[in-house]
Amino acid sequence: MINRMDNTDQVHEAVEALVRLFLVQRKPLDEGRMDLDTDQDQDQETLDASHEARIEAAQEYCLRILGSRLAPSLVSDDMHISDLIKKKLMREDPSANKAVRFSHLYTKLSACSVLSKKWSTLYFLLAVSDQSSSVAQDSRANDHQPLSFLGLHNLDTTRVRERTSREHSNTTTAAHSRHGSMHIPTQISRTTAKLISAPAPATAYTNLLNDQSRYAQPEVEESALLRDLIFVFQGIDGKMIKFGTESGTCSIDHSANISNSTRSLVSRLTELGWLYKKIDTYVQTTLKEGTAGLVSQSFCSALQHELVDYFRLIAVLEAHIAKDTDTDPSKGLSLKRLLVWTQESLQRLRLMSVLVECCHDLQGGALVSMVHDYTQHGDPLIQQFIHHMLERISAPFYVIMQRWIYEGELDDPRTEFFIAFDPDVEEEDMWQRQYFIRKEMLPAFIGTSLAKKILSIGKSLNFLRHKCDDAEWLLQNHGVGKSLKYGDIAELEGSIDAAYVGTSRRLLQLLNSKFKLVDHLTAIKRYILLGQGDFIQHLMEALGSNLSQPANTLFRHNLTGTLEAAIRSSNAQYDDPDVLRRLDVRLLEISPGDSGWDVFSLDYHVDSPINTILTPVAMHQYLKMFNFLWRLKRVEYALSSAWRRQTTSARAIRPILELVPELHHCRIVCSEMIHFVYQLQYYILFEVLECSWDELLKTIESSTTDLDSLIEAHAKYLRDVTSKGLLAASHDANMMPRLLELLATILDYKVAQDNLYSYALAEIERRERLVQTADRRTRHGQWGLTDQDETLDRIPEEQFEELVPGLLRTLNEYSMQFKRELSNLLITLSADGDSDLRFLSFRLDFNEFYMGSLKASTTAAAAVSGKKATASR
Amino acid sequence: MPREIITIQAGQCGNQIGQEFWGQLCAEHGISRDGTLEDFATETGDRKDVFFYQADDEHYIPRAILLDLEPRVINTITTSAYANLYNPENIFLSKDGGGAGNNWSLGYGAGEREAEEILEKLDREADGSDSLEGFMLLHSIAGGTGSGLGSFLLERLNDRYPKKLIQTYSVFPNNEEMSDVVVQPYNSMLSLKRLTQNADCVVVLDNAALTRIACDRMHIANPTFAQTNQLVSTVMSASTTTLRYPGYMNNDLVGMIASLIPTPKCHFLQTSYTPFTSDGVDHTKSVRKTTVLDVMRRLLQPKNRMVSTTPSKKSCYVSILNIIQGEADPTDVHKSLLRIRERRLASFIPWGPASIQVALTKKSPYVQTPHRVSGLMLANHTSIASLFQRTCDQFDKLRKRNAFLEPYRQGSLFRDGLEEFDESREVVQDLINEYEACENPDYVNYGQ
Repeated sequence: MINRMDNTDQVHEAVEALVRLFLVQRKPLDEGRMDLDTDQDQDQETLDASHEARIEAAQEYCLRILGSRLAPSLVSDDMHISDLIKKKLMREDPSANKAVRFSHLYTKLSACSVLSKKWSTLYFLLAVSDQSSSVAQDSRANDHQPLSFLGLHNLDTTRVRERTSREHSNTTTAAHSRHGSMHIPTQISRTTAKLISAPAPATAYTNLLNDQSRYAQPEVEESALLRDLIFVFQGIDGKMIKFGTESGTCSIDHSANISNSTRSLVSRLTELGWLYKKIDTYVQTTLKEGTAGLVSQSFCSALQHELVDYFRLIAVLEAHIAKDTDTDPSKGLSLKRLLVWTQESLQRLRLMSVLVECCHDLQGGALVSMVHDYTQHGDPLIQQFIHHMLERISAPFYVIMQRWIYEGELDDPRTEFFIAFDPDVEEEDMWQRQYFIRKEMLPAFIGTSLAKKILSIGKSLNFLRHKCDDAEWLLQNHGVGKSLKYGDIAELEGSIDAAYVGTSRRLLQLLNSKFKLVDHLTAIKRYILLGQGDFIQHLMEALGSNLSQPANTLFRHNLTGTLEAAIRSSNAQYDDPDVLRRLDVRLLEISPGDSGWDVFSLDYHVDSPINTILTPVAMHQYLKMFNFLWRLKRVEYALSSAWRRQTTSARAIRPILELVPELHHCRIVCSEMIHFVYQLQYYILFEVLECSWDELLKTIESSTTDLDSLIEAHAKYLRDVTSKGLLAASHDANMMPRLLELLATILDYKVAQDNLYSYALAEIERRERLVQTADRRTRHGQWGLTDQDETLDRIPEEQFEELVPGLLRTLNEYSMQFKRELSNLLITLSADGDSDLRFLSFRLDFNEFYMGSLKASTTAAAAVSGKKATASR
Repeated sequence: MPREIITIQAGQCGNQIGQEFWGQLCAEHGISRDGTLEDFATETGDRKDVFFYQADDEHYIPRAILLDLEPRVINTITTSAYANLYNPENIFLSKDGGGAGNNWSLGYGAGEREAEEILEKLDREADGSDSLEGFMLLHSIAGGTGSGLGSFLLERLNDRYPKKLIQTYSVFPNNEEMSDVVVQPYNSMLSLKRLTQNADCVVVLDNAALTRIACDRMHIANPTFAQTNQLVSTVMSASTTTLRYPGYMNNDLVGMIASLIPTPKCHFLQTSYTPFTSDGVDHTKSVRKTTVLDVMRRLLQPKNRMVSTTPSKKSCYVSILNIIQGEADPTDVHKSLLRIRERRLASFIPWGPASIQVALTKKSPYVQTPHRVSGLMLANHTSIASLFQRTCDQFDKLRKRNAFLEPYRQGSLFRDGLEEFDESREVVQDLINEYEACENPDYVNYGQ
C-alpha cells in the first residue's frame, strides 16, 4: 500500500513539474509566435492567479488522462498519431508552419532511441491539446491504478512458483533423481531456463499507465539510477529502488520519472541484487548457526569467495559511475552497459542461488552430492564454475576421508561423512557393525563399490589400531597418505585402491602372523570338528563310560581333567600351547533326562581380534557340529567294539553250533551298520569338511582379499559345513532327527548284541566247566556225568529255549528297524534336490544293494498284484 | 595311549620284509638308522609310538621281535646300518642254529620247544605298551620257520591275548611254477589252517605276483628278493599310514579292518599299489600324471594286484579301502567314485551294502617321491579263493601219493598220525566254500 501511495505521489509530482514547465515556457513562446493574443492589458496579479489556476487545471487534466482506464480509441501507430497531430495543426494554422515544425520534431523524436513509448507520448500530447472536448470526461480517473512494477512482480511470482514447483519435483523425484543422472540435467536446464526468462514482459497497459503518470515529472537521471542500482546490487535499498519487505522483491519508485524502457531495464538489473541478498542471507544464517556442518561452512565460504569477485565488479562499476559524473555521459556507464557488464556475474549468482536453494537443508555428503549433480550441466561454463565451487565445498569432506583412509579415524563431529559410527556395538561385532555406510551422505561420484572399499580401509585401520595394537605401522603408513581433493575420480580411485590393498594386506598379514588366524581355524578343525583322530579317540575312550550317565552327574572339572589327559597322550601335545590353552570342555544346558552325551561339548575360546571372524554365533555353530560329529564318532566306536567282540570271541564260541546262523546274521547286520556309519563319516569328511576347508584356505591364501571377504569366506565355510554336515541342506527338515534315530537304533542293536555274546560266552564257560567236571570224575573212576549234572545241563537248555529267542527277537527287531529307517532315509536322500545329499545316498548305496532290493520288491509286488488281477479276471 | 602294534617277524622271509619295513618307517618318521631322531624331523603330525617306543636315552626302538631258527638273515641285520635300531633282547635265534629246513613241522616243533623264551619276549613287549592293539606277524607260509613257528605263535597268541587283534602279512609261494621246495604245498596248507582260524586279518602277498609286478611295473628283468621285499615294505608302510598319521578316520587297526571284514572267516585281504618307485631302479619309466582318479582306477586293475588270482565271473569285492597318500584334492574323490560306478569298474557283493572307502593321508615330509599321489588298495575279494584252491590242488597231488611226508612225522603233531593234514585241508576247503558262498545273495543265511 505504501508502495502504491508513494508511486501516486511521484506521478503527481512529475505531472505538476511538467505542467509548470510547459506553461511557463509557453507564454513567451505564445507571444513570440502569434500576435493575435489580446490579453496584453491584463495585470500581472491576475495573470499570476489565472496562471496558477491554469496550471492546476492542466495538471488535473493531465492526471485524469494518465489515470484513465479507458483504452485509447486509436490504433497505437506512431505514423497515424503524427498524422492526426499534423492534421490538427493544419486545421489550427493553415500556414502549415506548425505542421512543418512538428514533422521536423517528430523526425528527431523517431530518431531518438532512448524513448520507447513514442506513441504513448504523442497520444498524451494530443489528448492534452484537445482541451475543450474532453474536460468533463473521466471523472472516475481519480481511482489510480497501482503503479508498482508489474514486471518485477511477475518476476517474483514466477520465482516463487518455480521454487515451489521445484521443491515439489524434488520431493517426488527424490527417490530416483539420485540414480538417474538423466533427470538432473533436465531439471537443471529447466530451472535455469526459467530463471533466465524470469523477467516476464510487462503488460502494455500497465506500462502505459506508468508512462502516463511518470511523464508528469522530470525524467530521473540515469546516473542516479545507476547509483541506486549499485546499492541494490549490495542488497541495500537505494533512493528509488527499494527491496520489498516480504517477498524480497525490488520496486522502483513509481513516481519517479523513469521511462518504461529504463524501468524494465532497471528491474532486470535488480535481479542481481535480489540474488545477492538471497545468497548472503543464506551465508549469514548458516554461519551464525552453530550447528552448520563443516561442508556447509565450506559451502558458505565458497559462496563468499565467489561473492568477493562480485564485490570487485561492483567496486569497478562504482568507480565508473564516479568518473562518469565528471566526463561525458555518452561514453560512460549506462544502464545497458551495466546490464551487459553484469551478465556474467548474474549468471553466476543465479547458479549460486540455485545451489543455495537446493542445498539449504542439506549437510555433508548429501550437499556435495547435490552440488556434484550440477556438474552434469551441458554448459561448459557452468560445469567449470560448479567444479571450481565443488573443489572448495568438498575440501572438508575430503579431509575427513583422508583421515579415514590413512588413519582410520572418523573425525566427523557433524555426521557429514558417508561412513557412520554406531557406539552401541558389542566388541565381537565391532568390525561387522560398528561402522556402516550412510547412503544419503554418499556423494554421487563415489560408487557403491568404492564406498565399500573406503569403508573397508578405514575399518581395517581402525581395527589395526584398536584391536591389533599396531599403531606403529599406521604411523609409518601415514606418510603414504597424500592429500585428496575433488577432481579426478580416477585418481581418487587409484589412491583409494592403493590404500585398500595396502591396509588389507597388512591386516591379513597381521591376522595370520601375529594372531594366527589360520592356526586357530586349523585347531578348530582338528579339535571341534574331530580332525585330530588320536586325540578324539582318547577322549572317547576316557569319557565313554562317564557320558552314559545322566547329565547332571557330570562335573566340569572332572571332564577338564580328562581333556588334559587326552591332550597329553595324543599328538595334540605337540600343538601350540596357546591353542591348547583355548581348548576347553563345555556342558550345554541340561534338560531333564539328558545323558552326558547330549550335553558334553568341546569348546574353543577365541578372543579379540580373532573373534571378529570367529564370532560367538559362529562358535555356537561349531559346537553344534561338534555335538553331531561326536555322536557319530560314538556310534563308530560302539560298532568297532562290537566288531572286536565278534571277531575275538568268534573262536571261543564256535562250539555253540545252535547260534552259528544267528551270529552270522548278527555280523552281517553289524557290517551293514558299519558300512552306513563309515560312509556317512566319509561323506562328512570329504564332501563337507575337506572340500570346504580347501576352499577356505584358497581364499585366505589369495592376496586380493580383505577382512570382509575373509569373514565372508569363513561364514561360507561354516555355512557349508553345517548345512551339509547336519544335512540341513535338505528341504526335509526331519532329516537330522531321522538320522539321530538311526544312530540310536544302532546303539540299541549293539547293546542287544552284547547281551547275546555275553550269554554265549557264559554258556561256553558252563560247558567247559561241565567237561572239566566230567574229566575229573572220570579220572577218579566215577561216571563222567551224574543225573544231577544231566539236569544241570538241561536247565541251560531250557534257558536257551527261553532266553535266546528273546535276545534274537530283540536283535531282529532292531535290525528290521534299522533297515526300514535306512531305506526310508535313502529314498528321501536320493530324491533330494541338493546334489551333495544325493551324493550321500549314492555313497551309502554304492553297489545299489538297497535300491536294487527295493526295486526287486516293488517289481515282485507288482507281479503279485498283476497275477491277482489276472486271477480275479 | 597309542594303539600299539607289536611286530613279530619270523623266518628268513619275515625278517627280510621286516628289515625293509623298519627302514621305510624310519625314513618316513625321520628316525635315523640308529634310532635317534633326525634334526630335520620337526613335524609333529605323526605318531611314532604306534610302532616305536622310546628308550631312556630318547632312542626310538621298534616294537619288533625278530625270530629265526638259523642265523644268516638276522646276522645280516645285526651287522647292517640298522644294527643299533633293534632291541637286542628282542632277537631270538635258535641255539642249534640249524634252521627248520623248509619243514613246517620242525618250525612248529621249535616253537613248542622255545615257547617260553619267545613268549617271555612277547609278554615283555606287551607289558611295555599302554593299550596294545594287536600283533602283526610277518612271515612266508611256504618255508619252515615262518610257516611253522608262525603257526605256532598264532595259536599261542590267541590263547594268551584273546582280545588282541592278530594281523599277518603272509607271503604266499609262487605256485605257478614248480618250486625248489617240494613240500611247499604241505607247509602252506598247514599254515593256512592257522591263518584261517587264529588270525583276524591276513594280508596276502604272493611271490608270483610280486615278481610279475617287479618285472612289468618296474621293468626289472630278474627281480631279486630284496627288490620284491621292497614292494612288500611299501605296501606295509602304506597300509599303516592311517595309524601313523591320525586323521578323521581309520586311526586304529580295528577301525580300519572292521569295515573290510564283515564276517570273521573272510579275512584275507589283497593289496594293490600304484605307482611303484624303487631306490634300486632310478630310471623307472612309470612317472606319469597321477590324479586321484588315475590312482583309483589303476588300483582296480588286476595287473597291479599283489596276488595272482584267477577271478571267475561271479567274483566280487566284499569291501575296498583305498588309502591315498600325497596332495590329493578332496573334490577329486567324489568325481572318481562317480566315474568308477558309472563305468562299473568294480563289482560288489550282492548280499549287503559295499563301497569304495577312501582315506586321504599325508605323505611323509621326509621321503621324496616323484609322484604327487600314490595309492594303496586293501580289498577283500572273493577271487582269493582261487589261490587257496590252487594250494589245495597242489597239496592234494602230493597228499594222494603220500609223498615227502616222512620229515613231518617227527613233529609232535604228527606223531599220532597225519590227521592234521586232512584237518587243515578241511578248514581250507571250508574257507573256499565260504568265499564262494559270499558271491551269492543268500550268503545272509549261510551256515543254516
